[in-house]
Amino acid sequence: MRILLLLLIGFLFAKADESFLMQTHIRMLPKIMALDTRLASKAPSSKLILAIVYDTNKKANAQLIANEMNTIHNGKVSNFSFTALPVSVDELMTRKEITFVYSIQHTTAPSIKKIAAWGIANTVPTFSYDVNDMEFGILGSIAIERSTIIYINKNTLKEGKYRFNDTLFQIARLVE
Amino acid sequence: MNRFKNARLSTKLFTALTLVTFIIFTTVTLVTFFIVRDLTINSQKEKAALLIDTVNPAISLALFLGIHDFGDKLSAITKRPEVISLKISDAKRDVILDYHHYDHSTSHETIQISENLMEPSSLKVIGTITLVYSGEEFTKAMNRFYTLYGWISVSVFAILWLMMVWINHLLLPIKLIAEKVRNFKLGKKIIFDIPYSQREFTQIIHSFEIMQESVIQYAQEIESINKNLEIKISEQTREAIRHLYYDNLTSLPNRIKLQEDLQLNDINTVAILNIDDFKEINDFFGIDTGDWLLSQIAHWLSEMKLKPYRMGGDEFAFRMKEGSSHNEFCHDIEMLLSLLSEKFFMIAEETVHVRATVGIAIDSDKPLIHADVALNKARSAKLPYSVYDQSEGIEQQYQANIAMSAHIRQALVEHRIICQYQPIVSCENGKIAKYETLVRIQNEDGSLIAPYDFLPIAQKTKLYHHITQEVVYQACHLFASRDEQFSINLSISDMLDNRTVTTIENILRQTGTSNRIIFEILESEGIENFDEAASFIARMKAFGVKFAIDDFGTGYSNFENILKLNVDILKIDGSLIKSIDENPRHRIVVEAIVDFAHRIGIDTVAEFVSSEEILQNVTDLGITYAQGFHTGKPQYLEHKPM
Repeated sequence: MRILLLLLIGFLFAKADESFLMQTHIRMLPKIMALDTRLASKAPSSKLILAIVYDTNKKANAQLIANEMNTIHNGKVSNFSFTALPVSVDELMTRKEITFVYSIQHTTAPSIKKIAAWGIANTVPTFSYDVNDMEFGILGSIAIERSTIIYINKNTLKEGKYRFNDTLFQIARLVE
Repeated sequence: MNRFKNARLSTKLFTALTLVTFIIFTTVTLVTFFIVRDLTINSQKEKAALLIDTVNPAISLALFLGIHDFGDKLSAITKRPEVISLKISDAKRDVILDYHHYDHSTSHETIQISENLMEPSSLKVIGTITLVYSGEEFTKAMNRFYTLYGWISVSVFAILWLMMVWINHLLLPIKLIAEKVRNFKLGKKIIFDIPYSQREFTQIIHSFEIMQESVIQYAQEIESINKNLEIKISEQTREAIRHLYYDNLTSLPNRIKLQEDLQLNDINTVAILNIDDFKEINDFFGIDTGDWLLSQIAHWLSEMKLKPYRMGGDEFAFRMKEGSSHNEFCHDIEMLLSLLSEKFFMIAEETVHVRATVGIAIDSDKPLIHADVALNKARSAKLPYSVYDQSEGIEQQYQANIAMSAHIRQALVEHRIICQYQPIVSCENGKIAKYETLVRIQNEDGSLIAPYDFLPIAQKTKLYHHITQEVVYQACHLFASRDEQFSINLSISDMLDNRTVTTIENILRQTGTSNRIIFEILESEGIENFDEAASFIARMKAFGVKFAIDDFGTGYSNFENILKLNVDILKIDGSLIKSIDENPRHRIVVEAIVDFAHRIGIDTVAEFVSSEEILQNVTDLGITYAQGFHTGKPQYLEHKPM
């Protein structure tokens, strides 16, 4: 019983932690997108598209996150208007107007690799829910440790020729 | 201001130096102070700003991204001891971070810097960061500045004080020179021995030495000039005294000397000697000869041991000798006159006999006046000398004459010279034929002064002409309204006075009375001044004026002169008429005059007809008119309406 209770408490804490991290991602990712200095030239249309990428059966989660993001930011970040859209990995490969990619939780490693490769090829910043995804070439992620930390993949940053506002690098932690 | 003007040179120099130094030092200090203060405070501000700039981007991004955990990002500045506090606010001014460093123990001025936190991409203001920075370094810097300038001030004023001492020391020779020059005395040469010799002081000393030589030389010259001047002044004084007290012509002491001598001692017995008829000598021989004679007389008088004084003109004076009596003095004067009458003086190779008259005042309080009075008395009485006698009242008479003179002058001014008219009646029918104008002075109380009381005095004081003009004016204007003839007495001096003659002519023209007026001339005056009288008569006859000889019969005129004067009437003197009954000689004279008048065809007037008998006599003798108290007293006449 005790073991069950501990497991329940651990589960509840884990859920709460995930929720808090997700909320942090939802709040911060559009703003990090706005720090891309090539953003204005990348978006021919008036609205930027922040793609919430999912694997085949996670569209509902992606939709939920996109809705939450659009609600919180009210479609605007900094001087830009944007829309968060759920986009599947395959769909992402075909679309060109996307300006920022966020890979949701539990995306598979092959998908992550595809997303990272696509991001590097199109110089579109790719962030992932899981910090470990950065091993597959994802540009960055946000983790909550003693404080909120933005991780940037140094190699991907170079490879994808990304350009961000310099201040980002003052608070971000660059990793290899 | 005046005190500064008169202040010592060293004081002025020091004051100027202090003032200039103070101004420069204060200006430099203030400028430096402001520069140091601004530099220091700006430096501190820049430091504070730099600190903020260091964290601003990270804080801005963190705030933008919603990361409110700034600890790591701010640690770079919060660990610095100068940072007192740090405050971060969002755009809504809600304080997100308020950090305070509590360790600062001393209280210093603080510097507060605020900067906006900007959104990195859009540069929108998303918050504010405010840093309060410690001013300790600024305070320390300023304290170092104050200490430094305090020492500089002390040094500057110490240098100034040393300069003052130095200036005083430099100018000491001037003080020494001034002291020596101040004590300079003629005859005592200054030796300038000063402790050191700058070129300026040696030049001053050299100049003073040259000046000293000049002063000494001038002083000697002035002293010499002064001595000469004193001698000259002394000579001039003696000369002035001689001029003041001694007569230039005779070198005898003069009237002023006599007056002073009289005041110096008690002898108040004085004699004044006047040379008789000296005017004739002057007229005859000339003034120079007259002066020469006077100097001879003066010399002779001096030889007589009487110590003569010259009073002026032909008058000399003597003062009674000390120890002499009045009788001896009078005797000496008598002797002097006697000797003088025997003395002959030489003038132009001719001998001249000089006579003199003397007036003596004995023990008189006014010796010169009284001696003069006595002299006049002696001359009037034809005496060789006369002694002033107070009881004779001569002085009072003189005073009365002076008073009368003033009275006449006043009467002329106040129009109190009036005329009365005495009738002259025809012996043939007893009717008034004419009037003689008789002048009076009317006193303020209405009483009258007779002409013989004031006319002689008027003649002496030159008021006579004014009286004559007044009488002619009154009589002519009166008889202009009447039809009788009238006569007015004229003196020879009136005839000789041009102004009086012109006035008479003007009055005659104005009044038209020239054919009825008769001017009476005294027989004695007419004959003595024959030419002048004849000229006047001829001038007036041209106007139709008639002339009468007044008081005829008393003088010694001859009938030829009477004929030449061309007179119209002879007024026989009253002294002959009034005794015509008793004195056969007078009757013979009157008969001769009447006969002469008849023969030359002129009228006669008998004066002093005081009774019926006399009137009858003069009528019997064939005299044309009679005048006297019996025939009519002097009276006022009135204007007759035309």
